[in-house]
Amino acid sequence: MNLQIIRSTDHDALSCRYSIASKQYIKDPYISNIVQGFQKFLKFDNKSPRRVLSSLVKTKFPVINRGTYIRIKSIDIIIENFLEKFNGRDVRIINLGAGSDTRSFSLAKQHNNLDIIEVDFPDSIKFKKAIILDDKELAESLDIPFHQHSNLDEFYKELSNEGILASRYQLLPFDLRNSTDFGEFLRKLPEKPTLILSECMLCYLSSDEADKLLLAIHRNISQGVFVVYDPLGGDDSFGNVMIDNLKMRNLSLDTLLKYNTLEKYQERFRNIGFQYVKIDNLFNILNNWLAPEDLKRIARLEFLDEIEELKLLLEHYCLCLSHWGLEFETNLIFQL
Amino acid sequence: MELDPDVPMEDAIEDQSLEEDEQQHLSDDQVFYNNQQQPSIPKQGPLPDLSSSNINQLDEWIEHLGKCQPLSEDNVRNLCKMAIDVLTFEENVQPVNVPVTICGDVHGQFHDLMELFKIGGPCPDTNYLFMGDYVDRGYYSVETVSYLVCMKVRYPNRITILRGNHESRQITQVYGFYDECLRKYGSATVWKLFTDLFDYFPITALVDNKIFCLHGGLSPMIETIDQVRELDRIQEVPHEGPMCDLLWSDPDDRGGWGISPRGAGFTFGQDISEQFNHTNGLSLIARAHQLVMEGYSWSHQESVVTIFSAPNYCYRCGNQAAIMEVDEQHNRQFLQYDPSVRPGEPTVTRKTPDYFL
Repeated sequence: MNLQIIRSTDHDALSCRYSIASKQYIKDPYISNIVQGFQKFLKFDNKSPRRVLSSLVKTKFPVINRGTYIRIKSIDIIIENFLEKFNGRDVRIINLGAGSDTRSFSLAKQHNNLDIIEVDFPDSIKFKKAIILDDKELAESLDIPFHQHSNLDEFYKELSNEGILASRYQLLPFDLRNSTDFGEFLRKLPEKPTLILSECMLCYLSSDEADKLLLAIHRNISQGVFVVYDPLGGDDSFGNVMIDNLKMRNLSLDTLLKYNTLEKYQERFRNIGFQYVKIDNLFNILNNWLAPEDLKRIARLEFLDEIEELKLLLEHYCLCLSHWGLEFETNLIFQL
Repeated sequence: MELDPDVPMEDAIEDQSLEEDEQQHLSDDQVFYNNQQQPSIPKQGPLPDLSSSNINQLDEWIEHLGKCQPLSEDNVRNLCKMAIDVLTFEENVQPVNVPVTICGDVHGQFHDLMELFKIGGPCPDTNYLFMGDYVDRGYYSVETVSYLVCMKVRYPNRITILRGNHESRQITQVYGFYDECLRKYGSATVWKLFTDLFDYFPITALVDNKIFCLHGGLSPMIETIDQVRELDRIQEVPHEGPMCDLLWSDPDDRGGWGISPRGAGFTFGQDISEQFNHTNGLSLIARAHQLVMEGYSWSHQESVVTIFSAPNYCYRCGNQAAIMEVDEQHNRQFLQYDPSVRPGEPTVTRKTPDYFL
């Protein structure tokens, strides 16, 4: 699959995040910085920047906003619980295919015992690096010097491809479709409890590429928590329609129908060697994880007519949690 | 020209008493609520006949719309005026005879509506009863609602079009019809013409005194069908109260009345449906409003049926659609169908529906 096409899914993710931030579902103090960065630098990175930029800030339907909220919130809950469990100890988060994700900025600012590694395609890394170095608030949140420059074109052109290597934040170029180098990188990391996040990333790999990546993670990290958010084909026609629709964008999802149910998706991890694997769909998570007052709050933010559609959509997304090398009992919500 | 037996060609009585609203251009960010419609009482007596020139005009529009091409703004204005003249004669509980084919949500999926008429038979050969939600979500709300309104004016005794919760000013500003009008006409005029027309749509229908048809469901404030007849329906769909409930409520597995997750209307249990059917001498409540994967779904031990006529809803859900035929002997048959193949539709211009990517 074309790299630019996979990268374009980050624009979808960012526009969804932007939409729920502007509708007050979440507070994201850094999202406007990222969008401003897109406005500045996208012309260096994309052939149709205007079209992308206008779609970034387009309002989404309530069903998409609700689904985006539970996606972000559920992962945030797991990260919070992870940080709380290892309160004060040195821990690490590795975000696979991080794209324009804004989590790192807030997390780095709030937790000085936390190392953050963001991994993505080399072009995505260069693009994000430009946005971070050019923005005082973003750079400061990561303890990175802010780069003043007089010429945008030259600044972008002269940026190196090696990402960012700061003491507590690393932005690293890896094409995860071939995980050999990445596995080697993981093997050399100092040992500490590590949460690996794959937020709608595995689904873009072929079955074989994904298996190799999962193995590399399991083998090379000794104390790991692995959080995976992915679409599920289901045993109805939803998956086929999704495949047809995304084909219009030349996006293919090779494993969507292979691991189409929660059972098969969980089995996939067990077969790789992950021993503790918990999984649920996002509809159950929406109904079970949020505090009643939060459910009430989001119900008031905007009117949602698409009740059945929300259920159908969210039943076709899963959150899968596994851990190894750490001694604790865990359930999916990760209350340790 | 062929004559329709239902529409004798005599001089039309043009009703000039209805006000024509000032055309307003609304800007994109203007939120428009119109709850101050003048109360109008449905008119009594026989429906005035269409003039031959009107018939010609309507047939021309129907042919044009049949190709999924929108009418001009002026023609929409004329159409809506003619439609108000027709709908103002209809009742809150519009009586409908058998045989009739009952249909659910269409939501701007114009090509699937054409498929529906292929499956169910062309109108006016087949009588149709649509239970609302013609606009929003799909890409062709303008063509869909224009087509159905044209058919209504052309064959008023052959097709009944009820109001759904999306036939409202407020909802159409969130779910697409407003934006589509702006995109296709460059102003909100057509949106205003249609949403003003929606106020005249009947809210329920009664098939042969046996099947009560409506978009949503029952209301705790309505025990008898006569109470529906007493409502003043010619207004924007209110946020609460009996008219709102009829367009918003859903049947539920739990008994009694419940709070609706939609934030409008109620959920009602089997006890409520059975009591309502008993009180009013009904055999069935037919309603739409909810996506059901097989296109139809029974609830409450066959005292309520849900019919949904938008296949692969929002081009994403992968559901089948269905319509329900009721014959002279009140036998019911469901016809299910899949999305139409759209040879004429350029797929490149079709936006991929949103997913979480």
